[in-house]
Amino acid sequence: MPQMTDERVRAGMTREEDLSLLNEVSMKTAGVSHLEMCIQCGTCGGSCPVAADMDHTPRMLFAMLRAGMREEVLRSNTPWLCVSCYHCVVRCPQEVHIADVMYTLKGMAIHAKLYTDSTAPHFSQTFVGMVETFGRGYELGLATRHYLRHFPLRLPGMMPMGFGHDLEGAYGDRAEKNQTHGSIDEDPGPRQGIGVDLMNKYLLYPGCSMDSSAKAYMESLNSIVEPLDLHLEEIEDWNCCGATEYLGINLIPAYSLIARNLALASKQMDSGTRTVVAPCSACYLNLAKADYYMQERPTLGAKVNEALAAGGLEYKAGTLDVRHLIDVLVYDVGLDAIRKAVTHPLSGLKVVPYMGCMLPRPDYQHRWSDHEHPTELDDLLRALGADVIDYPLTTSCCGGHMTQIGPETAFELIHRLVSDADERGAQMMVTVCPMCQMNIDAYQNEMNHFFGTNFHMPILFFTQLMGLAFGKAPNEVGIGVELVSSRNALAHIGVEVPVTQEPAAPRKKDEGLPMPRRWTKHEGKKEAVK
Amino acid sequence: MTERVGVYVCHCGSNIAGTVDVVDVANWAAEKLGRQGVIIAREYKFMCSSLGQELIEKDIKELGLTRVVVAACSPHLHEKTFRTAAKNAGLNPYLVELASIREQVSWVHSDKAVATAKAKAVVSGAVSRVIENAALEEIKVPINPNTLVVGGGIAGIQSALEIANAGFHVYLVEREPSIGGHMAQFDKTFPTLDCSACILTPRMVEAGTHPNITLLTWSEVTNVAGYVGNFHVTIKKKARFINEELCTGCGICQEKCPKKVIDDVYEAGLGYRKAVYTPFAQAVPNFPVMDKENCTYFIKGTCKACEKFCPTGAIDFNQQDEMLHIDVGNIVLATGYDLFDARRVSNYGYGRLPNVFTSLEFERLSNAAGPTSGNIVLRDGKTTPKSVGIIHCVGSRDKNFNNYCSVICCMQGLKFAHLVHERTGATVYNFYIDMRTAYKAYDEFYQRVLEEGTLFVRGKVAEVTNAARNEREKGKLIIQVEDTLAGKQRRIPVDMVILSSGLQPRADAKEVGKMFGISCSMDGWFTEKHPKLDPVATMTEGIYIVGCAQGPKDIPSSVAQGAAASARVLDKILQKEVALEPIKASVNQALCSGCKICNGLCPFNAITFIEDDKVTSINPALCQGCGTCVAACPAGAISGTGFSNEQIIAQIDGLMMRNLEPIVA
Ligand SMILES: Cc1cc2nc3c(=O)[nH]c(=O)nc-3n(C[C@H](O)[C@H](O)[C@H](O)COP(=O)(O)OP(=O)(O)OC[C@H]3O[C@@H](n4cnc5c(N)ncnc54)[C@H](O)[C@@H]3O)c2cc1C
Ligand code: SF4
Ligand code: SF4
Ligand code: SF4
Ligand code: SF4
Repeated sequence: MPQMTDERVRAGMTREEDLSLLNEVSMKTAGVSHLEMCIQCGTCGGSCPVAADMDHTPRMLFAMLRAGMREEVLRSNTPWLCVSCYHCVVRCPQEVHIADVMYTLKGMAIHAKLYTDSTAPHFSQTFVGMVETFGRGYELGLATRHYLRHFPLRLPGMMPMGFGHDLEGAYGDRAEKNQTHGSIDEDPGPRQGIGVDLMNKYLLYPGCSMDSSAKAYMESLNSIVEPLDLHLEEIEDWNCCGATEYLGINLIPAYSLIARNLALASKQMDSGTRTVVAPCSACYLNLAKADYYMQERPTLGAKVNEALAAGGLEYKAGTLDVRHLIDVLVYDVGLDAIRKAVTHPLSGLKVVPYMGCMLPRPDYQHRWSDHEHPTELDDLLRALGADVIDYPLTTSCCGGHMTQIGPETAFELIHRLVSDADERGAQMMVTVCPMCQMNIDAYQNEMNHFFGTNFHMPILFFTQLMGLAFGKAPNEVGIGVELVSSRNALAHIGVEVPVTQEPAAPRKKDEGLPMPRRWTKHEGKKEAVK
Repeated sequence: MTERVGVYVCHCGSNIAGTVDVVDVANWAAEKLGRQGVIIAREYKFMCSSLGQELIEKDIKELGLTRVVVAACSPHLHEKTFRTAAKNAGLNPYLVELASIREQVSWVHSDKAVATAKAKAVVSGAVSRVIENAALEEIKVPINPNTLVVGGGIAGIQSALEIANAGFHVYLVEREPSIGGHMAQFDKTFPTLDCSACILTPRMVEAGTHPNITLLTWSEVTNVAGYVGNFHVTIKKKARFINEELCTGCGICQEKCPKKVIDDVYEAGLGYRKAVYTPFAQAVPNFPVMDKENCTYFIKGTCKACEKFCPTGAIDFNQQDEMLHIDVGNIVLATGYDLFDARRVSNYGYGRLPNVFTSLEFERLSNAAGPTSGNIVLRDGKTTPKSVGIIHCVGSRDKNFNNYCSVICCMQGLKFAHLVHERTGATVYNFYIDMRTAYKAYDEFYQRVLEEGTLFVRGKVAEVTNAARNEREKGKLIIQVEDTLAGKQRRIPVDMVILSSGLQPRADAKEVGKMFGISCSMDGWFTEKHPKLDPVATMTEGIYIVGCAQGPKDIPSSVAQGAAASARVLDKILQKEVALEPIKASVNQALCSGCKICNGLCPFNAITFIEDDKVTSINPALCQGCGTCVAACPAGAISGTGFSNEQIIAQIDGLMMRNLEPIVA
């Protein structure tokens, strides 16, 4: 095994001041980056969904690092465009942690003040600022603030988002952080008694979006815990995982922010479980990644624990099992139990299963059937009776944060997904991730404007369909708040969705654009759109 | 009697002298180890040279040395050299010890003072040990002149023919119904493009009819006992349900058999065979075999169409598997490779996207005797592709799968480019990371394919997809790749994709290796005795490895290895007897408690338990002196000549310098 820079430095074989640029980047990256091992094969550049918009392909960037071209690398837009889809990471024949290297380069560019297009770094910093103020991130408020700053003319396009999501609430209710989640904690009754089967008990990390943009996900999750006899206990005082933004700003705080949740969760292990369940793919990945890298690179683990100690916390990496909701449903609850709970099979509903990118990759714990075409969601939807259409893009990226920092790039990715689903005759897409749901739902209209297309592809959470199949009413599972209405699609299976809101009227092409409303600072720390 | 020890410290050019102060070591040994019996210590530039050896021989004769320590390289390299020198001078060769101050000292240290101190310790250990050495005599055993060759691919055939032509008997065991191996599946062979069947079939026929070759197909080795010169081998000859005496190979049974089965072996899953079949027309032998799992009669109890039509009454439903016991002196393993399972690279879509093919599938597709009579068509069986993408390095050079380069697939990819071009006129793209065409006439072949207009894209393909983004891509397979020379991502729509899947060790290589007492590398290939200087021998005397069983290689190299192993076997046979190292373990049966702990541990199956006496015994001819059992025996009943407890303890004492003044910490 060739010696990685990290080990060489630790063993005193190489002095830190003699490190080449390549080695420096490698050292600064979480985990063992394997950057030194790149053979310039181009798998990363070939895999990257946003390569077309990048100044340099990831591979070129690595060649430039080798050549010591510090300025050119740090000025490149490439790291900022990376959507952390991990396609390149799982395919790289040399196991280079490409996405993590991108985070490192972002951090270095901010530090060196070299990246000139301010949009992307600003987004990261806005996000981090918000998390530092509120403890949690709210994509919607963030998106709004960010749009106002950078794309004022786009704001109207996303206004409909406000109808579905309680903006005031998102900012207003910060005082009581740990609201209980409906049936999840409210009914502690017999569950805590003796003889309770703890097999189905999990620690829930809801993540910020579950009570902002993805309320429908939370509601529908609440609606299925009982039929499936699931017991979810929320991690007390959890905080934002940093989404994909924090990692680019500063490594140790970023991992400490994530690990704080693990530390809190590990305190709750005495309640009979060591499994943390995250319904959001980005949260799941961040938690799993922190757990994994703290083991892979003990120096990182030690530093993170130093930071945690300031808050009287500690996390021993590897103590917990971090899993995504669908993993638990398919592999613990099992398809048989799910099939048994179905009272209203979804026969005739043509769906494409959309797993998204961050769930099956990089898959530190080998949980998924495949990195490229995993079948867990397909199997689950089939168990509900739906007509599942083979969807080759099931793990392609939805655009991630690019909707915020490079909308054209994101529209392209959303267009690929929606047009292929449409081409295959899907009536709706089904997702497991709040970010995917929001990008494809909230930005579909804008994407249509951008391409001059007219797609109408609803996207629901898989838990919403489970709820329906278990006999719940649409409004019990949060159906009706999506912007691209699923009413017509669900009519195919005889589900009537009551009209709760008028769908936003598409903007006429020649209509003039109103001016954005002004920012006002509210009393206290809250900021909101008036 | 006090021993008279000579110590010889080698510079190995600067290999040792660059890091170890060899003069100091020699002087120190002469001065400090005198009490141990060292009467002379010398250093010399190259101890292994003839002058170096003469130096030792002269001292033995003139100074009457009774023990010799050579501080030089690892005993793997030159132990034999110095033992022979001692023998020439009249000293028992086992009274010579090597102290490895190159591999264990100079090559692994950089600090000269530390290295020199360590070298002294190693020399001191060797001196203490050599005093405890006993004079040993080599054991001679006669060699059985028969040879077993396992695997009837081109490498095994070559090996068998050379030995048989030299006049000795060979048992050639092949697990499939016919010999020929992978080469029998190909259409053309690179770089000369000769027809594979045309060059292979004559060899197969020769092997099948050779008076000195007993061909055992549809057979497998199930047990191996014994040792070089005297192996006892058990072979299972599976029931063919065909009486080989009566069958004329007319083929009527196959014609009449109603049961069609997908042929996963010879046709690579692309074609069919019957339940009773010979895999291909030129099969050797050309008696069919009946595949019991698929035969209607064996499943349902009725049919027997083959029996009804067979003109010679050769069908025999009552045939049973037969166990054959043979004795051989040497064994050649030529079990070849498996093709990497391309379904594992799910981003390339094999098994999901119909028009993605593997290399072996393409070989059958382009073969005139194949399922499409050599027409290169899509999986619908009729459409000729207008554009074809050939992807290199599938499952090779990839830490997610196999880390090594499969060696042949670049050339095979070029061969395919040529064939597609020649037969269909389609546009051909080859996607590669590095073009590896390093062998005689190989790069010239690359030039030729360039000249023919193949489009080369340097980049490892990221994915093959059917998710079209525009009209141009609709209905096509889209190859998404970074063209690393153009520095840009490209999406290239094609009709057909061929995957240059890598080679990998046989699925059962580990078990087979264990049965024959040889080991596998980390990647799973059989391990040779020395990667450069002894590539066909193994650490087990009398067992040789050839062809792709040893690692990925092309046909010329497989044939060369087949021949090389034959030369080694013939050499052994002609010596008539073999000298076995007298380094052996033996059981002191008075101490043995009969616990059997050692019984299963011997890698060479040398240990047997004597039930009557309830004690263990070791067959000295089988024992290779590895010492595993010695260390394992809780009663201390096993000791080894050449590595007795006394020797080991003396060596440790020496290393710790306990033989000198006590060390003050
Ligand atoms: C698609 C493709 C195209 C190629 N084209 C070329 C080319 O054009 N030119 C070239 O030089 N090389 C080519 N090669 C490489 C070539 O196939 C090998 O070099 C050659 O076949 C190796 O021969 P072998 O005898 O070592 O192994 P194999 O051909 O694999 O033969 C091994 C034999 O042993 C038998 N066997 C295995 N295990 C046992 C067992 N336990 N007991 C009994 N029998 C056993 C098998 O059934 C088989 O018959 C190509 C390879 C591939 C994959
Ligand atoms: S895929 Fe890996 S090895 Fe290939 S160019 Fe990218 S980083 Fe380098
Ligand atoms: S993680 Fe995805 S977006 Fe980032 S460089 Fe890799 S392929 Fe591109
Ligand atoms: S008995 Fe078996 S082998 Fe013979 S014809 Fe019938 S199916 Fe074929
Ligand atoms: S020979 Fe060529 S195609 Fe095969 S593994 Fe090596 S580089 Fe890749």
